[in-house]
Amino acid sequence: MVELTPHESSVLTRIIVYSRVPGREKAVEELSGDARKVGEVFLDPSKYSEMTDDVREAVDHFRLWLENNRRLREKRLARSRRAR
Amino acid sequence: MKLVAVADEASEGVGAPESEGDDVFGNTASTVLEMYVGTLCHEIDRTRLRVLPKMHTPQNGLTDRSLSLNLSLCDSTPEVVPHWLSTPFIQRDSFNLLLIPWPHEVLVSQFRDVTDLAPDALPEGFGFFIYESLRPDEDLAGFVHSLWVEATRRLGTVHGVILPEMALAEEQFHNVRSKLPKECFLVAGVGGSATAVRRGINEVRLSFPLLKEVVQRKHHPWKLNEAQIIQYGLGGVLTPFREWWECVDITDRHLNFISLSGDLVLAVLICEDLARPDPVANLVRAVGPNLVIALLMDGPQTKERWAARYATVLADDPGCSVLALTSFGMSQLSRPRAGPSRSRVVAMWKDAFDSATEIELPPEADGVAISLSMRYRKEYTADGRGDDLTAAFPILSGVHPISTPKPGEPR
Repeated sequence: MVELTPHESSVLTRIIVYSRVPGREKAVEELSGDARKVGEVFLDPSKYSEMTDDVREAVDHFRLWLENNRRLREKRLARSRRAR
Repeated sequence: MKLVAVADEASEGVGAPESEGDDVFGNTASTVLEMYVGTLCHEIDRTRLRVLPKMHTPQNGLTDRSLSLNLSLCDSTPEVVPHWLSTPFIQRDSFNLLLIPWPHEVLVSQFRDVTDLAPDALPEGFGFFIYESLRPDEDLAGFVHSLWVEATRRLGTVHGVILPEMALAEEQFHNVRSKLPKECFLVAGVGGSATAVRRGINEVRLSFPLLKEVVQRKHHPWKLNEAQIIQYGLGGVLTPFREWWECVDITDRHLNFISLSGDLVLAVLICEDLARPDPVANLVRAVGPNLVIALLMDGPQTKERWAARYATVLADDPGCSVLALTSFGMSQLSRPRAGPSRSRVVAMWKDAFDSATEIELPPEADGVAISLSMRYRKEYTADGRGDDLTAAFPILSGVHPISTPKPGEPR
């Protein structure tokens, strides 16, 4: 699996989570190596099949995490509603 | 006060990015937190003060920490730099950790007088010592892997493996890491020898999926006094009539807060760092990470001993859950002046809801797997604002002794 520096992990987290905030392309351009390739897939999912196994594995991990976050967020909102 | 409340409410979720596609503020806060190294302030220099995300608000007493739910105001001490890291950890409602109280044997000869390495003569009555972690005869990586396999067989998934302070030498850490699956995180104490030109190393290595290894040094060296020399039986190598300082490098002090999800921020402390109130404890208290892991080289983790006392302070205010882990070897070396030794109590758990729980290593076991489940409680600020039941507390929900499978046993 790809190993990211804290900076790369932070940048990728932002472009993946805040997917409708402008400036994602520029943020990805400033990355290098596998981190950049991971970012490119999130900008253009059709590139997924062109990537190495390591990059695809990292993309899959981020997608799973994003789904997991959605589930946690839904649970949190449900708890909030009950608490009011 | 109104401005504080507005800023606090606007900052819900900073430091733990979630799925909010168009949240420009969240995106900017996350960028600032990373770019300005450990502060959310854009215009106030971090040498003046720092503002960090916050996971717990104290529910007892009344301090400036009682005024916010999502933001913590921290001292600007240059002594310790907080780093805020995010890593994509897949969090379930519960997660399992494998605790390996390694080494299972500590020899007195692993402690060494290195007073001669001091650049200047020390005052009478003081000395330097080091502890040598490396014992190259052991296939540690294979041992850890087999424990992970067995724990996974029993619990389904093991999300992380934890080893105590100074459990491994650097090369052992890399060997252990390479044998564990990438999706399993590893938190381990790593030690290195002192030389004529370098003090010893006592640090924690944190290895999370997708994230390059993170290193954090111990902030406070251990001082062995007469009572401890006798307690650990070290009198043959370190005279009890001196005070012995651990000869380790304590420069470049920083503290990592690792954001694993919106519910879970983790901090790891090494031994003395749990006990000393500054500089690190003030930061921990301000941020209130959901889970604090203390890696120790200490005696049994019974409820009466110091680690449980300091863990109780953190669990009470601000509400952290604390796991302390020592090695079985060090625990065995410790002999109480009176009463039976309880050396099999290698770990201790304390959270905001219950009294400290001792975790024992049964005679046939080599490690202990624990399950942690998230519990939620509403927290309030001093001005009466509530958090909609989002404050998260990992609680201990399972303890399972794990042993390496013997030939013929099911795997």
